[in-house]
Amino acid sequence: MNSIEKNNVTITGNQDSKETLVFGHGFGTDQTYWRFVIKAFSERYKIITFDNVGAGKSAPAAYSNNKYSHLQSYADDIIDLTEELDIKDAVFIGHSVSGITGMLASIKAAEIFSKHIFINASPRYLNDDGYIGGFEQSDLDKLYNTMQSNYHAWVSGFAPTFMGNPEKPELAIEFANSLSALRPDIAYTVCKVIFQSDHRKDLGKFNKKSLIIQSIKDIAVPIEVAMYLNKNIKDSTLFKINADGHFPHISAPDEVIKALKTFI
Amino acid sequence: MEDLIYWKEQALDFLIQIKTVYDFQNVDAFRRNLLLRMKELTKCDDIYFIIKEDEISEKITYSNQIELEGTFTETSFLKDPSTEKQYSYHEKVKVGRSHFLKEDTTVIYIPLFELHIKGSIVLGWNSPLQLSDGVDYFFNVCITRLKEVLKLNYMIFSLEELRIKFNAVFHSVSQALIFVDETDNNAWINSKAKEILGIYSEYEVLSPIVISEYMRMFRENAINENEITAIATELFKDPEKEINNWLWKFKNSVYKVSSKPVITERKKGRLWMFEDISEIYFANQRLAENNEEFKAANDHLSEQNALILSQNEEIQFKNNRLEEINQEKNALINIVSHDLKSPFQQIQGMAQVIEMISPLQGDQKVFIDNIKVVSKKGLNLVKDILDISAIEQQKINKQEEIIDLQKFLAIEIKICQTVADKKNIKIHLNYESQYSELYTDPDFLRRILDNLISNAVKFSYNEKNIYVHVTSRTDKIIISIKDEGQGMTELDKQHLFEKFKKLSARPTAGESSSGLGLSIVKLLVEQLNGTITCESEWGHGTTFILEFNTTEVE
Repeated sequence: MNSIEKNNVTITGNQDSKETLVFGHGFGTDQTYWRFVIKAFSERYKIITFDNVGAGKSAPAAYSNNKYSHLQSYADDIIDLTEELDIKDAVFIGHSVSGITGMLASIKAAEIFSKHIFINASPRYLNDDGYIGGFEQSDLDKLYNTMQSNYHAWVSGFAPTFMGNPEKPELAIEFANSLSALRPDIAYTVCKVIFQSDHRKDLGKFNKKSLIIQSIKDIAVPIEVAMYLNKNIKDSTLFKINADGHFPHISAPDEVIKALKTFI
Repeated sequence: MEDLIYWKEQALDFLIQIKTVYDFQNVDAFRRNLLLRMKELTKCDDIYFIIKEDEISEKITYSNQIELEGTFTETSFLKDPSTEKQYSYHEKVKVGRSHFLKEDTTVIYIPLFELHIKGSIVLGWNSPLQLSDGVDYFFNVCITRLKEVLKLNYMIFSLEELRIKFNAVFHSVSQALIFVDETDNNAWINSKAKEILGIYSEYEVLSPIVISEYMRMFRENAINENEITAIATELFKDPEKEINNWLWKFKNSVYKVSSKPVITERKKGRLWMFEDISEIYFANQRLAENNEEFKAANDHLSEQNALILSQNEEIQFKNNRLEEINQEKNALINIVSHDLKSPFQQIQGMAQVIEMISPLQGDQKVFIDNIKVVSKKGLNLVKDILDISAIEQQKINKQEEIIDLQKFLAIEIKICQTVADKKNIKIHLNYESQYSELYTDPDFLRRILDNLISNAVKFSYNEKNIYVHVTSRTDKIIISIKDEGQGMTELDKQHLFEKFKKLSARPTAGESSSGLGLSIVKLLVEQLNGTITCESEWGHGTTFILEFNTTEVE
């Protein structure tokens, strides 16, 4: 199976451009969440969007709970698809977990991306000695339990909490719908892999020029995490944007576009 | 030629060295060491042990590149070996950047399709390898041995797992288990069995002779030892006999024992199982005792029941007899009263005739008057007796109709007032009921009121009042007749409505009283489905309260 099929890769924007932007989506969403942001760049750049295996319209047969219990497997997929499209020196824009998988891909295959943008990404969600991740293990255990006992009830609580922006309920509804479209066992595995991950050590192996975009209010990723990334990624800049919730690219796209334009 | 010898020696080395890495306690360490030996002997740059977890998940489980352990990869681009070989050779493989192998590596790919393990071993050289027959020999020997050792390792590991599971079950079941292995001449015994047999050995494998000695001692303490021994003898005669539900009873405990032969091609033995059923056994026994008690109590109850039944029959018989007597009595009263009625009427008639035919003088007049009074009294008594028996025998038919109660009472009181006037007694009617009509038998009601009002007059002194008060409450009309007479004692009230009961009060002007009036009243009130009650206190007058349903008025 080739990567185009496997990851439902979409190529849009300026096909002749030498400059490529690769957008990676986060948990519970898919490539359609980039629709507002990519508009601002489609004239000048070649734009690659894709669905992570297990999400959106990726090939169902490509998913395995074993293989995708490691974020490196997602990173390997990014390497494979960029190789297949012959992409080099591109810019990788990763939301949430894709910020990390993009970084892992870059560590393994240095020539693919020259710049990285992390949007509300986190190398570790659990609090630790001297580290604020935002969650305690007991919070997450509770979350896993609810997820296992009644997935759809969990979705209806999780979606509005993580989306924020209560004045725009359609956003939480969209997120709830894309969560509901996931196979519950896949959602459970993926959610657990992400929340239990710890990639703080990998930050040191990473040396690409980076922009860290962070909503000022996000229940999944506190501002301290963005500051930690900024401190531990050598060549990085922190850009706080005035946005509510974990998904600024859909709830405050203009803010995200403004931030991206300062960097790309 | 040199090359060939070199590889063969390496193969021999591998066979020798493989023993030094046996570590069946630690599968991980064993597999890793095995790989490292292979790496040394083949002088490859990298080696990977890949386990296929599912169709698409190939996990690098061991490698000299430790950082790759735990990551996923794929080997599908490496061709499987031809049928006569166990490995395939690949020169300068082209792989993507996501792959664990470096670009242009020379690879020996050893697929593993064993029952217990699916995956592959991959050896990589950074520069091309000089292939020769010796290489082939080396890999064939090494891979065959490697697979054997992996299998052995897996078997030992599985056996250990099985032993753990077996022990967990064997020692945690509540039953005592003893397996006597006749082939190996040893016996396995679990903790519970040691406990009941009183064996204080930490070993779980003991000599069958020791076990049977302990079992004999155990058996000797049984209450039903003879019974047990009899069955045991049968068992020893027939080695293939199976026994279940065999009870071994002790003073404070009871075991359900089963003993079954275990005979397979290679093994011959016997499994003994002792299940402690003391709790349920003794509970059952208590239940049985209780049942006995219940049965005795039940028998006693049945006897009493029979007695009551026979007494009931007797009572029924006596009742019937009484009924007969009563009927006889009623018949007698009817006859006597009828026969008495006419003599009294004749006496009265005669007295009147005597008065008419000649003027009476002095005492004559007094005597004649007395005759008239006495005969009238007698006649009244006879009438009352006839009435009461007629009512009791329901010979009088009730004829109910709607009456205007207020008007009815006014007329009735007017009639009674003429008698009352003789004692200057005033009868007052106070009608406060919301109902004006009553569905009743007017003759019955008249007799009731006559009786009660004339009684009130009879037992009141001159110049007193009688109050007739009519009220109502839900579906009821209440008529009360209150006098200012002598009242009644508690004893009077108890016997008020009984026949021929004369009460403490006396008529105030020598009026006659048969003692039947109130009995008649009571019977008539009952005929009208009403009730009569009496409130009175000695010296403070009497009130009779009549209650009739209005529901019958449609």
